[in-house]
Amino acid sequence: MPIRYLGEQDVDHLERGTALLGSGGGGQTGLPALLLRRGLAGRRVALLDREDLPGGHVVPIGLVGAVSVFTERLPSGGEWTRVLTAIVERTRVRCDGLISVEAGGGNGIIVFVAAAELGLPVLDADLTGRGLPRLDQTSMAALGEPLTPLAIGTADGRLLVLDGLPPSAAERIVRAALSEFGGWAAIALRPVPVTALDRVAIPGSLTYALRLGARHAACARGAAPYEMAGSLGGRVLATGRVLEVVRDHATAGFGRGSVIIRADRGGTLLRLEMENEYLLALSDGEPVASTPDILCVLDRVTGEPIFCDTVRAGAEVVALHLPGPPFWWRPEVVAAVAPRAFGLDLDPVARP
Amino acid sequence: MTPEAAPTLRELLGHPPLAAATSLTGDADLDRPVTGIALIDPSQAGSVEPGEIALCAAIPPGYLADWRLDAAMRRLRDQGAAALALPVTGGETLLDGSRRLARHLRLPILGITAPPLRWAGTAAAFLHAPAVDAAEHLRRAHRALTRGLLGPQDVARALARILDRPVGVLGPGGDPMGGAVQPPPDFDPYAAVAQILTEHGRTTVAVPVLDASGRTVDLWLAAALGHAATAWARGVRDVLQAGTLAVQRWQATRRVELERDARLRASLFGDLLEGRLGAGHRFQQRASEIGWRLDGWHVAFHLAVLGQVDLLRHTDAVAAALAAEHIDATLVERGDGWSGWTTGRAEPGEDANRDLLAALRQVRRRLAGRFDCAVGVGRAHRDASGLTRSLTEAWDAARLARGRPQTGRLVHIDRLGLAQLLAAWAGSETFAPAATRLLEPLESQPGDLVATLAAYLDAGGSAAETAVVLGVHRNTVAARLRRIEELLTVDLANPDDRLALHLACRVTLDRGSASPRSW
Repeated sequence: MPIRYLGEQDVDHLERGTALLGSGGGGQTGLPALLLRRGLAGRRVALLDREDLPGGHVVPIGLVGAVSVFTERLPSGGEWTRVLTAIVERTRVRCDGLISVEAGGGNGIIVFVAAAELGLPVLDADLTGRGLPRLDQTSMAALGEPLTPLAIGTADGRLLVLDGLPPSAAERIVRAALSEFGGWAAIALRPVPVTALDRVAIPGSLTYALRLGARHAACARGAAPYEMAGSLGGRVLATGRVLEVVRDHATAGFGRGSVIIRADRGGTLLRLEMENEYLLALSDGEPVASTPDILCVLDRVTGEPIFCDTVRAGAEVVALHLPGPPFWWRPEVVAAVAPRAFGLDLDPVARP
Repeated sequence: MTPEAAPTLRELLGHPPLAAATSLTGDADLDRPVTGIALIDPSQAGSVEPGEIALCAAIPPGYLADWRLDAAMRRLRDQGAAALALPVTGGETLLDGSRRLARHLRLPILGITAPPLRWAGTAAAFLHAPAVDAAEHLRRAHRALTRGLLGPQDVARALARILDRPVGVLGPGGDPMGGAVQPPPDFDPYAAVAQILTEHGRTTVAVPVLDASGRTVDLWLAAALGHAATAWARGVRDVLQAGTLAVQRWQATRRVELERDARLRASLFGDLLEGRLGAGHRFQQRASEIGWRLDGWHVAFHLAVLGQVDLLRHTDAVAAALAAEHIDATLVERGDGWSGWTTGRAEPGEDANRDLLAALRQVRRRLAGRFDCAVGVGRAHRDASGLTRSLTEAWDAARLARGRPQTGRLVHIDRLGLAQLLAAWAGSETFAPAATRLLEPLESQPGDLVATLAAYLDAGGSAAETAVVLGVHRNTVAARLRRIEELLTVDLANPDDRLALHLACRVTLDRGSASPRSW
């Protein structure tokens, strides 16, 4: 298979696709897309398949922290170099390419920004296959693989390298350290041997995002919800108006919230439970979809995905259910991202 | 319990001991029958039978806004539950979406502010053993009503507290007294039986309080229950019936008191009329004890009842009617009605007299629903002796008022001529028989002797004029007069005899003629 390149013309599809995979979270995609267009500056980034690299190591790279702060304090360049250097120095392996820590949301785009900065190719794989909020919800962590050494850092020289810690501890320390880093930081995880990628990562997720984005872009404005759902390989949960959005910032972890959509037809009430992502859908009280599958809320007119932190009452929307990465449905890992991992006391809802 | 007899959710919520539960999801879907109560767990939602209320005895914080509530609603709807009941505290509310979902699923959510298990116990008793529930209310009513002597309004208040619903007293015609309960339109005050009436789903129970004869309704006790189960309405009927016993007991006691007071008043009144209540008299002390004012200027009036009426039963009503017209009067029962008087420091003026007449006219109208009466009013006189005089005048005036529908059966003594008064007095029950007996010997004789005698006396003792009036010969008149003197053994030259005979003629002829002589 010939080596593909990602250029400026692909950013729109990438942005749409990663936003859909974000399941309402993963961070806003608009600003990362803007950064990528500027970072490419007419150049291209190689997007390699697994077969294109016979060996060597790739480093998972991305961004952790609050995206709202990200928009206020823009990357100044150099943060990816710092964290990658820290990891390479500590592990003494050569970095042959980058993979995304998370294909859903902004991190699906940021990996290309970092690749453009570092002059490295991007391998078509990630550690989540969708938007997920925590480091211990990566495929490596779920399989019991260590994430450390990992490094977080900023362009102004702040750097934290963790080693020898289990993923849950790493997650807690990184989360606690973020305020000292100004709300967000670049992150690089332990290098992954290319030969192990098929086992510990989710291959093809960036291509999937691009394909999803292309199909989404192909749907005309105001396309019938069922046509769009069919084209994206999902199904419509409800088409209607958002009645109520409740956000409870008091609960532990990320703020929990609920979105209630009243379907135009039949008066069915669709309730979406959310944290950073849409996690669970109940139709008239009956659970109809949940993590690890992907739930999207789209603006009914423009078709643009609406993120959990911007959804508001009164919006006319389409709620979609897209299949989640098959990786997460595997029995040995599903518990890491099932509803109970988010404090929702029910089993994952399998696709009908 | 059969499905037909099962109370609806609305009726259950309308039951006062269960008032701690209210629908959090509006008024919809409350009309389904409830068959029982089932306890469920907030997350696992144990199974319920169709028609049962699923009760969560305890819920985790934030549950009302939690998706698990929606999921529980859905499961319960699928199992056919009648409602979901949850304990609620002040702060928490349902999400608008959950409220809508409840309406969409047609599964009401009840918020319970009392301890939920106690509520569930009461609800279960209400559903499965309504007689026990009713007996408990009856027991409480019994305790409250036997604590002391209670008047009708006191009984209504006591029962309202026990039933936790408005209880009111209605008059014999169904008119509300006090306004706590309005009778529904289909209430029939002429059917002297307990009535359970439901209109627009709201039930009113009315129970009659019968008088001593057991046939006539004195009052009604009525309770407005709102939405009430049939068994509960029947229980309320029994409670109200216990209330009627208390009211009857009060009435009987009151009657005894009234009769005792009436006897005292009657004896004092007798003294008053006999002029024995003057200053310094020993009865004066007793008169002031019962509130009679004997000094000052008095204006007396007399209400004479037309027809047969139990006076004591209406004394309170007469007093109330007087009070309503702002007549501050002392009232005494007499044989044919009530005498009363108002007292003031100064001699009442013309205006005061006119006002009193107008007010008494209103009193008579107020009492029209109970009985018809004639009203006489005396002049203003001073002190005990003056009161006696005014009372006599009022009594005389009332006598005349009886026959005067054209004056509204209300007559003031000032408007009467002396002769009319005298004649009216002479027509009294005591004089009339005597008059009849006096002239009786003339009745069986040929020739119209009574008419001749009357004409002769009217003509001032002129036989010639009598002959012209009667259209007979003068000698005939003379012959008849001689026979009259013989038959009656009187002397028509004697003025005393003439006066007595003249009055007797007036009375006899007035009574005999179909239309009384007009005055």
